[in-house]
Amino acid sequence: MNLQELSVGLNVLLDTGDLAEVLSINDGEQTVRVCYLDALGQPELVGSEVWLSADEVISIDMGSHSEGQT
Amino acid sequence: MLTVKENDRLTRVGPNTPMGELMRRYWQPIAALAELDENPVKPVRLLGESLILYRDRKGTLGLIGDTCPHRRISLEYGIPEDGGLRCPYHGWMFSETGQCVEMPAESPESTFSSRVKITGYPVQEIAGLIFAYLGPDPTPLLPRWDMFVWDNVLRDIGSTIIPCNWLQIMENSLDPTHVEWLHGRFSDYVLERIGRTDLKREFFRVGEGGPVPEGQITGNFDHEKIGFDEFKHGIIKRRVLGGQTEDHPNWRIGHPILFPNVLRVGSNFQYRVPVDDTHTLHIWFTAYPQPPGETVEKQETIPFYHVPLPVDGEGNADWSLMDNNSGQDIAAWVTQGPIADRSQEKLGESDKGIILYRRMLRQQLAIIEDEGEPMNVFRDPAANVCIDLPWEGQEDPWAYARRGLMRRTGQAGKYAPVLRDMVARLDGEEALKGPVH
Repeated sequence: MNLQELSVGLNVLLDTGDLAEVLSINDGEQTVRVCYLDALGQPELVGSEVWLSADEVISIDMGSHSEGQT
Repeated sequence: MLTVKENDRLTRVGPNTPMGELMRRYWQPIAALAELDENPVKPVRLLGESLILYRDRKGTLGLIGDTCPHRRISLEYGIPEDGGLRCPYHGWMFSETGQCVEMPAESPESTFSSRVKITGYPVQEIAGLIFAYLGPDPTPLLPRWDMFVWDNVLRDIGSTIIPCNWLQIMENSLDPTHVEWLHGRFSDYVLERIGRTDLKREFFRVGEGGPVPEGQITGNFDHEKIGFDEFKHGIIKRRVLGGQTEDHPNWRIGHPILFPNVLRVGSNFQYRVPVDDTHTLHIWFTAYPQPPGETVEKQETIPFYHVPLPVDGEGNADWSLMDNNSGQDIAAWVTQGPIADRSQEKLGESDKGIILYRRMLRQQLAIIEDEGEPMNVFRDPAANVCIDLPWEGQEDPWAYARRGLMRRTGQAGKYAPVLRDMVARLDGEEALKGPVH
């Protein structure tokens, strides 16, 4: 997703379906450092930190509701 | 994107697989009752198990293992009798529980039959649709969703077996934007291919903006906004189309995806029943609202129709069968492969509905792994008299049907006998000629 819409501390939905918190943003490399909050397929990831491509971040987490422009 | 391991976990449905165990917690439709009128014995494959559905001479339905344990012949040509299904080879007879009740060639004093039992699963019928339950005891209630129990509607049931995994079919229902392309631009291309450019959907073009025609519900529009809400029976899908606002029923009400494998759109259920890992029984169940002031008798038989496949999985297509939404959808699903490889996909923000649905699947898998009860398992008869669901047409069902359902392009309406009769009655036989559009 567009990194301009993100800020540190936001929770985001990843393309794996996992949830993560944004820790830092690297605009130049279009990457985001996140901490996994919820990883249903790989629970061992919870609490771990990793750099992800902006393309792996789908949207800001809105809980049980989700919406967006297309 | 999913890992290969996670893709397997969400797609494979055989016995003792995680998703197979989840799917077994639900009553799954397996046939229309009318299908047994011509032949009361029907081979059925469900969740990787080969079974025989039959109706005996007393009208009792049974779903039992497909092989006689005596000499291992198929019960596909079994003889339905008063108390069960009789093997045609040596006459062993099985009740609907799978219990062997007769072995004619053994001595009358033999107790052998009491020790022979094959698989037998509970079956129930509602609104002309036969459901089976392959899960653990206690058997839950068969859900009485609203369209099964509505009064003053006509119903029909269509089905086909699609050569691909169930999940890629369900994910289509969480993907609103495919409508404007697959059922818009591609649909027009199909009409071009079959030489009927005169029928192209000219009334609204992707990207042109402008007002949606008054009362229009389906067609070629662009999605300005999509939304999804979890609710107690699954996920509500919402959309704001070009020219509409959030006051429109498309957003304000939306329509539901019933967990785990049902789309409800308009007054139509689409069940995506896993036959095995690479085949899906797709069932279209439609309840047709009637014009105001008109009353219809309850149907003695709910008509059944077969939906032809537009592609065969080997690259052979019949373009004339892709002039309707279901034909277009099936073509897309089959080309994703027997099981879509989600380790190679690239999802964008417009795919968030698919991601939310996968999350819900995984959450419910976790519940049964903890020996809990997943959503949409019903135990309370008082809460199962009629389970009302939200849908865009609920405020004026007939108006919704007239503008959307009766165009015959949606669902598998092109083939639906009740819809054909209604269109002929209301719009004349001319309306049934040529490709749907």
